Amino acid sequence: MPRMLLFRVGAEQYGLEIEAIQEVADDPPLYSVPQAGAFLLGAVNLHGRVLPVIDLPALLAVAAGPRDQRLVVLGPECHSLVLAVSGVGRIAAFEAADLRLPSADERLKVIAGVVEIGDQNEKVNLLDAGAVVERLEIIYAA
Amino acid sequence: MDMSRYRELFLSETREHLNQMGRLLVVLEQEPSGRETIDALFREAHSVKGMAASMGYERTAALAHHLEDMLDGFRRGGGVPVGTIDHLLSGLDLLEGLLEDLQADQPERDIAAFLAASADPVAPVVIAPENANEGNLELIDVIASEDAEPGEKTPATPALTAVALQPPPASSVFQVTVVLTEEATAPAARGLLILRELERAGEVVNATPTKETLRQGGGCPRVQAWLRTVVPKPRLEEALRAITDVDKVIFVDDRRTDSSRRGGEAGRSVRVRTDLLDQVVNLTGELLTHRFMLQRAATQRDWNELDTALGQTTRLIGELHHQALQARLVPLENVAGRLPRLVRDLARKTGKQVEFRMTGGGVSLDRLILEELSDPLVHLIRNAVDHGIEVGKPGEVTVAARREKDLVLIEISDNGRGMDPQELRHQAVARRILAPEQAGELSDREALMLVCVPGFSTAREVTDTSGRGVGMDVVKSAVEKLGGTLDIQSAVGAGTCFQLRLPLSMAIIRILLISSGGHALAIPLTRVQRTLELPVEDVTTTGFRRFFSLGEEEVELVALDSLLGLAGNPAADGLCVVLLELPGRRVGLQVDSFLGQRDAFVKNLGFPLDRLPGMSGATVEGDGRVLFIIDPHPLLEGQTAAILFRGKETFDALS
Repeated sequence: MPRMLLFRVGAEQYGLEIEAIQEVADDPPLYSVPQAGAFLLGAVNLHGRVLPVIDLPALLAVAAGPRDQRLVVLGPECHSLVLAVSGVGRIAAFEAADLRLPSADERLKVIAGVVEIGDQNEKVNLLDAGAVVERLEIIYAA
Repeated sequence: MDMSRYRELFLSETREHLNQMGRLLVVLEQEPSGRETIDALFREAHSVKGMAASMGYERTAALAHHLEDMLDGFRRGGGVPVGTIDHLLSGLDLLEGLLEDLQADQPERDIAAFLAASADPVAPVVIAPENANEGNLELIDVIASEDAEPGEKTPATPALTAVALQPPPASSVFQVTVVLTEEATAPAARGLLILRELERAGEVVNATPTKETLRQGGGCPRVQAWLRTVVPKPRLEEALRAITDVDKVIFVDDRRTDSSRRGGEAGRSVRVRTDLLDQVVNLTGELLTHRFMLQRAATQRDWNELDTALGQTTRLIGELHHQALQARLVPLENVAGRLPRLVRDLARKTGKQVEFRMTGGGVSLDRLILEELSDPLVHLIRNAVDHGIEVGKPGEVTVAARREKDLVLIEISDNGRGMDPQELRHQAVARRILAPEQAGELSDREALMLVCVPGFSTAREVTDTSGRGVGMDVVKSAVEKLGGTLDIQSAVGAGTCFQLRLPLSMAIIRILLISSGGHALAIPLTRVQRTLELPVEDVTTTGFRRFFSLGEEEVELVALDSLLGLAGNPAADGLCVVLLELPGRRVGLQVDSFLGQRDAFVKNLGFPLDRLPGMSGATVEGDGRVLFIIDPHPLLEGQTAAILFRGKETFDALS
């Protein structure tokens, strides 16, 4: 069964397949970036590489609350983007067949689909990392 | 074990050989019986063949082999027949195409048509090289006889087979390289024998050359393979040495760690002269010795000794740093090598008479910068021939490179018709890029820079009268991405000169540390003319713009924090100003304070940080803090662009 890392963005539960994740960094110092704009929280120095930290609540147009000090680092195929989220949760397995494609409204959330997990049938938005990159590419188009 | 680690190295080396061949062929065309040129060409083709064969790139090897044969034929025939140069050049193009395939991880393209065309009497190959096939024939004989009687041709190996049958100890994996003597006859056949021997001993992975290559006669003086076996190395060596013509047997254990296997940032390789590498190793050794001196002095609290050791260590680190940088430098001629060919082809196509000259090919730049420079150079030369040089007059295109302090100046000039600033101003107005009064305000130098405005000219319409803006915006941004500047000088009827100023090395630059809007930031020192502190009362204000006098000159003062959209700091009685030289003008950049200067290792930034205007990189401080490096040029030009854009809007509104 595929597995995902759960995290909150605002009040909503999100997940991201663990294959897309390189690591979860625990509270690395954040450096502010001149001209960053609304979606770039800053940059971190991760193992000697300077990586951008994306404000995921801002990108998904979710009301900003306190953020988790832990940061989700995507793999190199997603430019090693670092995602700031509202709260990092546990790793959970899910059934790929249970994945429901996003409705027209939900597509704004940059998700690959919605899936229910566990005994409580907890609803999780499965984030589409590639679509995050695409959205940023539109925002930062030269 | 995959060969892809070596692929980059192969590609870059082979490209150098192909560049060289292109240059030589142009020389040969002028002097068709130049024996030395033919010899040199032959050697280049031979090298390409050998490298391609050892990588298992069969078609590349076959084509290089074919060219080598042709050249060998010419060598014996005493010269190259007219018309054959074109055929050789198209063979060279095909080789370049094959390299592209390999780079893109695609199967090598078909070369049969080219090989067939060589046999075509229209493209006469003077003398069919008599001996060229002999080696192959002999080889086929050997292989055939081997396949016929497999049992008989396997000397001195029963011991090996016996060992393999014994209860197996833990098998080990290592790389084995078998080198044949130089005199080896039919190396391909020997190679097959060696492979067979290895297969008998265990599991062979990734043999180079492959069996197939060897079967087709692609011999090479060494066979390399990864082997999983239980046979002890001395036994194996003994068995391999029993094969005729085997010179050396080398074993390398599999010591790759997980991290080296991952190699996320791999892909770029740089060739380093061995003497340089030796120096680096020596220096590192000395550093180790000094570390012990330091340790001893520290434990004994011997301050004099500590001082001495520290001084020496500092010197060594400086030297090591210098040598490590040297390792990345590559002479310009490595990329400029293909320019003579380019000029020749362009001249022929346009029916113009063009001579190409190059000076300073030995000037070295960082390999990465050179790679990025390659396309802009081609662009500029193409423009020079297409639009600068006139039909019916002896044309000349020159590339001249020289060191200028910390920079390299590369000038690409032609003696063609030149560009007329007045005409360019008219074009800018006609194309609604500038309002007439704005165009009038441009200095001649600024007017020439108009050709770098995206979409300023489409070749056909403008070139015949003045412009040459074909892709110049691309050239300019490529040069700036490298931390360089582009400048244009031109005189009507006398020609045009494009000046590219580039840093020697991009990896390490000297930076000026400043603070602006509460941020510590860095500016590359190559951008800075000097720093000065200015009394507030020396600044004059005209509308929204501020100026100060510098000698005879009125210099505009721009605050960095407002350029970057940072919160401004009220200035005290003195202003800290960084004086910048932009093409054609100087600008004073106001910052909060100066924090010193130093060398910095530049880290390239990934998406989307690399999209932010003026953001040219970052450097990590000793304590891990990140310092962003700001290139003020695009920020200041952004201002100009905004004015230009507003100009266009007003113009559109008016019309």
